[in-house]
Amino acid sequence: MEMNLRNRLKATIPDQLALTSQKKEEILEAAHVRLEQQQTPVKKHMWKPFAVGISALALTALLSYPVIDEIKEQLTISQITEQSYEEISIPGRSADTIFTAVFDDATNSFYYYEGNTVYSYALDTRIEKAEETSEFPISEMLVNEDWLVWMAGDRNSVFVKNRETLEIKGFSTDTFIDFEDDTLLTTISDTTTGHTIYSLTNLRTNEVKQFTQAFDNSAVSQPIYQDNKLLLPSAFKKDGIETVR
Amino acid sequence: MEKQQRDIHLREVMDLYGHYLLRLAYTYVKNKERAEDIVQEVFIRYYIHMEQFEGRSSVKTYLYHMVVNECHNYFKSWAYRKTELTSLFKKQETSISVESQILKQEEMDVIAHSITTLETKYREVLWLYYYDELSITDIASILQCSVNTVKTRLARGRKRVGIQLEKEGFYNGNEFT
Repeated sequence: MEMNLRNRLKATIPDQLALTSQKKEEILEAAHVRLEQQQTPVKKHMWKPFAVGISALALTALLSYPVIDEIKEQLTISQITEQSYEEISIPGRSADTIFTAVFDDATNSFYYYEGNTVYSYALDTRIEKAEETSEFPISEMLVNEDWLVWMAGDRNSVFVKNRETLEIKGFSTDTFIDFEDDTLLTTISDTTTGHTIYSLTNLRTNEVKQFTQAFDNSAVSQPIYQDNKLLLPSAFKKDGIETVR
Repeated sequence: MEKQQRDIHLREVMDLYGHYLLRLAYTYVKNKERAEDIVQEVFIRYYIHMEQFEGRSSVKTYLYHMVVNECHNYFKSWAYRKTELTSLFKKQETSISVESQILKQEEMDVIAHSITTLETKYREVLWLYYYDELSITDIASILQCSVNTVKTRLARGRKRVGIQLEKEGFYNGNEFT
């Protein structure tokens, strides 16, 4: 039995679904407003920097007399901090790619991803290296001393690489949220029960601890895993007022 | 670019692709208003950055890519999870009537159902290839994956629709056209 898949696909959406002339006009109107907002220059108050400068000088003069030693000390600390800044530019990479960069203390490198590849850029040698290539575009990545974790764009596939043994493990999950030391926090939405399942996986022992939370209005923010503690924010009504705990 | 020129060009682009983009967005979000919001956002961004596309032939691919990205982002948002939950509750409340309706609807299109329940990654390639009739190279560009990945997903998507239909007794193993 041969079937025309195009017609069957067409049958999955309402027949009357179309971008109406009215909607097109609305879009055009909204586009005008957005463009105008973007083109409107931010008002520059020329007097503001002077006023701020004079106020700062006055405040410094007022405070410096009794606590001059303390200010001297603070200035020294500030100078040291300023000296420790170093401007790094990674050649050939766009701002969007650099935005994904995570600094890795262990190797004094930046890790970032573009397309299907995770790269590292060593600050000592200024050499970029392709660390891992995925079958699908990478959508998230994190790194620490022992592990490199990345997620392929099509979801359901999180990969973890042991940076010592170079062994790679795959996990079936919706997304990964965080990891600390050897523990990976992942989440799956179970639409049949209406719950989000959070899994804390020990990457060395493969031990998994699971926590569930209804993903109704209690889902107010991303959970946080820190210092061996999992924080799951939820909203509830107390005396008729919505509160977060 | 002059405002008037922008307007004319956006109108042309909306007339050319608006219908297809809206339908594409709907296949993801299954909600007319949400699909319209997504398409509106994409057209506005295109309107603002129009100069970057002058002389390029890939406007269509860009717009498709933007819609797909917006839809993927929507699924990651809490707004989606809340919507999904609301729908779930509604389903539970009316589950008895829905069940009886389903049993009565002998003429229900099982094939359409099997397509809508496919995983997104298979459904989107089937849609772009069979409905929008885009080339495999264009689909790879829109989804930012390799040509081979698109081919694999197409083959698996076709197979999965076939398997589902076979279970329902609607399909005898022949390839779809």
